[in-house]
Amino acid sequence: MNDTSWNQNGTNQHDRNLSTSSTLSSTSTSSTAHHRNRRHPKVHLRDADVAADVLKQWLRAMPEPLISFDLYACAIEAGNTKSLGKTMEVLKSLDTERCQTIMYLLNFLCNIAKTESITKMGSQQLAIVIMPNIIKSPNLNENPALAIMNANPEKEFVMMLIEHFDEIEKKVGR
Amino acid sequence: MALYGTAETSTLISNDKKKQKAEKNKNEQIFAPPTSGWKVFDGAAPAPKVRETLSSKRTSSMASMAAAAAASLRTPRAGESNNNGNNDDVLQPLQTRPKSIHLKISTAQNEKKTNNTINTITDVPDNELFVPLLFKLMCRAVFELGGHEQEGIFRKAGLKSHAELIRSEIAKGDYTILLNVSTVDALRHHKRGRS
Repeated sequence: MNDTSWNQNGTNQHDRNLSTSSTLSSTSTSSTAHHRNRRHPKVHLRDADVAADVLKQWLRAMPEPLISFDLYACAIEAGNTKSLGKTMEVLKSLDTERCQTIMYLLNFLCNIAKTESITKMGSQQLAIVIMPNIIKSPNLNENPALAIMNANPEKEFVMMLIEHFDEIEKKVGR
Repeated sequence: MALYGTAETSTLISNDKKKQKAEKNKNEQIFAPPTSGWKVFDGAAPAPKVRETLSSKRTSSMASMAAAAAASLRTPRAGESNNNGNNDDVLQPLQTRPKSIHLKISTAQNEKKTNNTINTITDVPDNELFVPLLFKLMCRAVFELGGHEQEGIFRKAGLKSHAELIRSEIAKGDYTILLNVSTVDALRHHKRGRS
């Protein structure tokens, strides 16, 4: 390898380009960092907020959300009536892929909600931020006003899923 | 020779824009989760360095085998009784089928330079057979980076440029960025953020 391509700080042009654009790459100037950069010149994921952002983006990018369009009305009804039984019915009606994925997500969110005192993200807050990514009105473009009206039942539905996850897990299974 | 603003240059510019748009759309398509059934996503994504395709194929085939086995258990053939000794022999391996499947995922990182192979052993229980590996890795990354001990996780937005960078890496089919998440790096990042 050509040593002249490395400057006194132990970073090469590629690293400098990355470090100016983001802190994801290594910007350390120590010799150990120099060796690490040579081995792993790629970007690194170090921020939980970024990871959470990417996760939300991935869920949002789904052409059909995790709660499929055909079950949207049932989910809204379950949210409106705050009925756990109807919520479970929605989950039971989902196909295996969606059901398993949403149960995995709910398990993960439950674990996050356990540390509410630190994160200040309880089931209600988590439901608010996750809701738009997993449940969407099939007529969002045609009738956005209806989607706004349904925001509260959507939130209630997701909140019930998180709060009663243990019970749901027992009855619906994963 | 074309001058700036003439029809010739405008077509060139529009062609460039079209190319960029097509490339962006392509990336979006790769990043986007499947339309129906997770298998579509596996087919659309480029060959990943993490041998996810192989493992997901394996898991899906195992799932179909399990489903077939369950179906055969539920519906005995006509004219055959369950008390038949031979029948029990046939069902023996199905009954002793383990509840979880052991998968070995090998990840080649910087194959050309280092040729190092990271072997990650992952247990895939029956109830997670259809959960996409990418999704699991993202959840794990949030947790390992201390998301559960960070105020406002999921509420606070991360830096957009960082998220785009990560997203583009994932869109290439390279999940090593999610596999290489370490708590030590996260702690260093937080310390730097505080100071």
